[in-house]
Amino acid sequence: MIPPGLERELADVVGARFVLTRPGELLAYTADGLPGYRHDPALVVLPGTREEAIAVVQLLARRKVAFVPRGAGTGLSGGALADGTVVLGLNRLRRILEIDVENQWAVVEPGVVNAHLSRAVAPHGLHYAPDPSSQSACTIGGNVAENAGGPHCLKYGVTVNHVLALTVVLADGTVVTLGSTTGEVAGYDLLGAFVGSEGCFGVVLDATVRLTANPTAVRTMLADFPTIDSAARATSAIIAAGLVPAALEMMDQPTIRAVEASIYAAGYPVDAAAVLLIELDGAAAGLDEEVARVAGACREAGAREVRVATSEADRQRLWQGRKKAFGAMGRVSSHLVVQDAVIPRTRLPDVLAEIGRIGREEGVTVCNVFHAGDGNLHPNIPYNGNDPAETQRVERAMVRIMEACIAAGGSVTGEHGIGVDKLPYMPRLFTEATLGAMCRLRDCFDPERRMNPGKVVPMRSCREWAMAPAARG
Amino acid sequence: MAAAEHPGTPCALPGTPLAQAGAGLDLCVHCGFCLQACPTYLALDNENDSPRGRLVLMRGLLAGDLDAADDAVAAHFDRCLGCRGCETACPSGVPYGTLLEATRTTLAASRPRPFAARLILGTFRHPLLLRVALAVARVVRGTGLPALLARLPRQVSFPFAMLASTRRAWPTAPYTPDADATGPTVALLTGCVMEGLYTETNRATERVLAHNGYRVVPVGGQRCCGALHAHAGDVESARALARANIAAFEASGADYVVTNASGCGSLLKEYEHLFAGDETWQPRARQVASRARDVSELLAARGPRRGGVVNAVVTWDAPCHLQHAQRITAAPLAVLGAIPGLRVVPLVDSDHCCGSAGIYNLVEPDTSNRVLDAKLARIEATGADVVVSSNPGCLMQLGAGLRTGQHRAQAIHLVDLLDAAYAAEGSPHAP
Amino acid sequence: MMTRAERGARIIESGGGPAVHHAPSTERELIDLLQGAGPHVTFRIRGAGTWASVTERIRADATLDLSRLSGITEYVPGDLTLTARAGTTLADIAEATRANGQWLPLDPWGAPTGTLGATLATASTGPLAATLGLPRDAALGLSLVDAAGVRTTAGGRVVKNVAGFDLVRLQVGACGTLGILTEATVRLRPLPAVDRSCAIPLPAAQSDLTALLVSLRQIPLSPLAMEALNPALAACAGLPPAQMLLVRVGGSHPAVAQAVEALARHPHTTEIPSSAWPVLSASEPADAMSVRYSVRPSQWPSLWITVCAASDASARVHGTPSRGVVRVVGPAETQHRVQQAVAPLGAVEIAEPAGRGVTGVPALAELGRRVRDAFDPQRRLNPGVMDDGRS
Repeated sequence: MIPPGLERELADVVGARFVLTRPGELLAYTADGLPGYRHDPALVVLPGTREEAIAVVQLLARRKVAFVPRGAGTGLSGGALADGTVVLGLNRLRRILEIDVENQWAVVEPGVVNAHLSRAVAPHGLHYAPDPSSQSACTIGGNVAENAGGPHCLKYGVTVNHVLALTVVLADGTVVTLGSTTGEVAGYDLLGAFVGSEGCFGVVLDATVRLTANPTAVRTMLADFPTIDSAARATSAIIAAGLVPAALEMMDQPTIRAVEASIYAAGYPVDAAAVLLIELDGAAAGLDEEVARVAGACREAGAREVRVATSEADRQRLWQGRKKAFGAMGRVSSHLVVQDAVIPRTRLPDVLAEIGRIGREEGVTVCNVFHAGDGNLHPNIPYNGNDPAETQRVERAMVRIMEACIAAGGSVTGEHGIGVDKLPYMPRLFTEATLGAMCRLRDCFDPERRMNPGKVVPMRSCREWAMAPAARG
Repeated sequence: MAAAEHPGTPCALPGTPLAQAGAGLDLCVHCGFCLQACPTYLALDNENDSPRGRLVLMRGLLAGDLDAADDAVAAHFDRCLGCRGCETACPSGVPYGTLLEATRTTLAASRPRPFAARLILGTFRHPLLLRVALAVARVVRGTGLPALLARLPRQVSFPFAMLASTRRAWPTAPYTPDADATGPTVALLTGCVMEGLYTETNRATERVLAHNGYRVVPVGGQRCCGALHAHAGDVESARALARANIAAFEASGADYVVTNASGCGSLLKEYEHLFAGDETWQPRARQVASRARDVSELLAARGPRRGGVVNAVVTWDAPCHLQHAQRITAAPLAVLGAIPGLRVVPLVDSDHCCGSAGIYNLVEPDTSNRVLDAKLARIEATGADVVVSSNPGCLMQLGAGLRTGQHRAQAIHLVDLLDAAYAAEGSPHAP
Repeated sequence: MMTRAERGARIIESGGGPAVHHAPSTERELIDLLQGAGPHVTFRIRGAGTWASVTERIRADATLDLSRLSGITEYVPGDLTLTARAGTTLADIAEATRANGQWLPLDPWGAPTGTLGATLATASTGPLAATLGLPRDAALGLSLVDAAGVRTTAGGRVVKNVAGFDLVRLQVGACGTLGILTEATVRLRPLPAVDRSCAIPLPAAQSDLTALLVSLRQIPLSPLAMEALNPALAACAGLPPAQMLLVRVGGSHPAVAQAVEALARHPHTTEIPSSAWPVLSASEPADAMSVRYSVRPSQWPSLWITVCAASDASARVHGTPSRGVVRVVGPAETQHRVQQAVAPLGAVEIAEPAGRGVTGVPALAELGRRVRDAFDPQRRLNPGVMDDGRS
């Protein structure tokens, strides 16, 4: 796959230390945050400047080599895997280029870590609103590629709502700026189309992102429920009542226990069937009345206890537990499947009941930790991957859960992306004509289909060749 | 153990320490939360030099995909600082430190340790050699030559700058501590570098403990704690040293064994793990470990007693072995809080290693320098006059870095600062 | 593919404008129509005709009137989502949702009989966009019929969705050139419990204007809308003919009361009914010609002052300070004069309907051309719109 001499040519651009070709060194780049999928790259190249990144892409264009952009490798859909092709790591491009406090935006390189941006603008009373749970590690470039969400996206919107402009290098080496700092641009919304394109449309060189003023007042609540159903009904009731929390998260008992066993133990009640972590923010006036309304909705649905965080430290602790919950599941079993699906919010009680039933029927433990306010589920299953029978049951349960979400009028991913993991479900959601339209759009950006090949849209929909055997397996 | 638990997984290195510790690898879910907590990943930008990458390499070694004799693979483990910053970022509790030591021990079997490492570890293992070496170092330091040589470019000057930086920065007028005849008894692990080069800090430790109501009892027969050996994968030497120390502290009969060097303290608290499966020594090790405390813990437990005014802008750089290994974060800040006049400025990434890491700065100078530069830039940004830490390795690394980089700030042991405050009672002290 | 000249000849033959008027009432009819027409027949797409300026200038063989393709097809208040056919008017949606204490906060300038399809296709915005989002943010899913008469979809019916490439954002604002919108699912929001508005006279001096905007940032509740009006527009809202800033605050009773109290501290502030907002939007004439300019929000005062000075008294000028936008509605002479005056400020200039796709950047124009080629290679849909002329 890799033409002779490419390694040396790349080394001339970025330095020999940043071109990896030894099998031992490539091993670390065979997986992203979803290690159930492993693809061996042929080479990893790590440019250190914007100019180097452009030169690398241009070199790969001249040599007609396929490549996969990669940020921190924290993605959860196998999107940053390169099968015999080149991994273009962007973690070294991590400068914050500009912070415009008055106009509330920042210009950052793609490798800037999400949480580091918020840390840098904190002295100005600002933050970067999209807060994926991996924000302490994931990069803005990766967030743009996946259109990442996070708990506070319920009120503040996902990545695309916070990106004003992107300078990108296309697969053919052309550098172009999409969008503008004023948020206005003539012509098609190519910026909107680019965000969430999972590394198939271009490589971000810099992103101009909106900064959000910190709210005047914040109230964080923890409501404790005796059943999953009562927590689900409380969620539906809060949304239907027209309350707009900044975040509304649910965790079930297996998740609570994993978190409480970790260094991020947050004091969640381990005997609760589920907890809701709810945050309200905005003007101080009237906020406590909203807290009372939310607490009332929880109690009416059957909450045993509703408590409000007493201090900023208490609030941070409650959030840390939630944000590190996915990682904490590592202690439950040796393998973990992480899922992501969205359903209409009125369907939460019955879909969660259905998921519970599927788990029982297949004999697997489903750990639910998710953005309930958006109807964005994360049913995760820890299991022993060395047991083939158990593995099979887990896979069957996963397919059944996804089918239940689709049947409820939902989608198979709310924030993790399609990558390779969700490819098999795409024909269930979209007609061939719609998948064809997606392929046509991709071809506008990358006619040679060299960027992140084999991801997002099943190959046969691009009328190219039959889809490779299902990646899961 | 890993092989026994998962008969489906073939093990290429049966019976090795790595195979025994291998089950710990299963905890890793590959979330990547450790990446930004890893100073070598941040300095080198290569995921093979990150905790997640090294865990993948360990898996590769166990699975036989990688060769244990391959220097290129081993280099990524050599380059690990062992700071364990990843452990406090890891939600699933991967026992990284244990896995790292097991890997190093396993790899050591098939490749010789570098000469510099062998020389240093050998010296620390032999009390006489060590005493001579430290005495020579003190004499050299006394000539003032290292302070001069420290002005040369860093590649040449660094060891001299380290030595020069151990000279006590703030000589204090001795004061008479308030003694409490009924207080708990403590035995000080004097340590080799601490007693050899930071002699005054050890005396200050005894004074501040006494001033806070502890009775310091003498301990004969103690040796190097063995931390340098354990971290480098030389477990046999570490055990031999530990046995001597366990016996010495048992004999002292003290309520607490106290250290003012976080690296020593963390091994002391983990002595038990050195003797896994040893029916004689493990219980004895557990007993001693249960009485081990960092000096800041004992001080914080007593308030600590407030001192006189010290006018300085200070920042706290947490030693890895205090924060990540011993998980102590509040006590040192409580100690600083007992000193009126201090303005404590937070240090961004204070939980990141400074690059000292035992003998790391001597055997991996390039990476160590990159890690140190990141730390120095953060320190510079605080505008502090004084960087406070509490481990000799860190103090020398920071001290040498500040000196060779022409920075204004100086590095001082937490205990020395408190000691200065006690000495200053009645007369405000300014650096 | 037909050349521009050939197509022109055809239009002349048919009398200079579309001779044929189709008004399908179902998606099926629309599909049959497109598939039945020859591959070179071009279409001008039209909603309710409320924004005549958007479509009247397009020259095509036939008009596709989507106003009969109307009606709400699904509305689950508990989900805060609503699905309606493209020809459904915003007024109908407002009525259906108000009963449940919800609204679709899209308030484009023009009559409320404007359709959902046209609002999304042109990405038209109003004062609420600054806080409650653009049409692209409200649209969750779309049904479309493409230039070849094939039905496709984009997005879905849930509020968060990253399945596949984002065809929703591509289509919103594409002015129908990449497909004909037949149905859309939109995100609704709860109506604020209390909704009050104030009018504050705008100072003439730039420093005073800047100081006023800075002080308004300090009010404890971020406003739902903040729109500056020139005297002509202020009069349309029933206010004295002077430069005015309309501020709309919504939320809980105590928060709004506190915010209005803070606003009232500015001299000469008067409270006005929030019903003034729709009256203001509806006052825009259907044949209006409009251009909007945008700059960094910090430069907005100088843009506003420059535009106001360059436009005559009859022109309608309004602007959203937090978006850095000023929009000018008036005849060509006014537009020309404003354009000249604004040039030194380096503002982004968008001639509505959403640009003619013309950008000065070759690489962007090339991408735009590829997109159009990929979805409408024959230029059958709204020919000439969003095009760089190299068809």
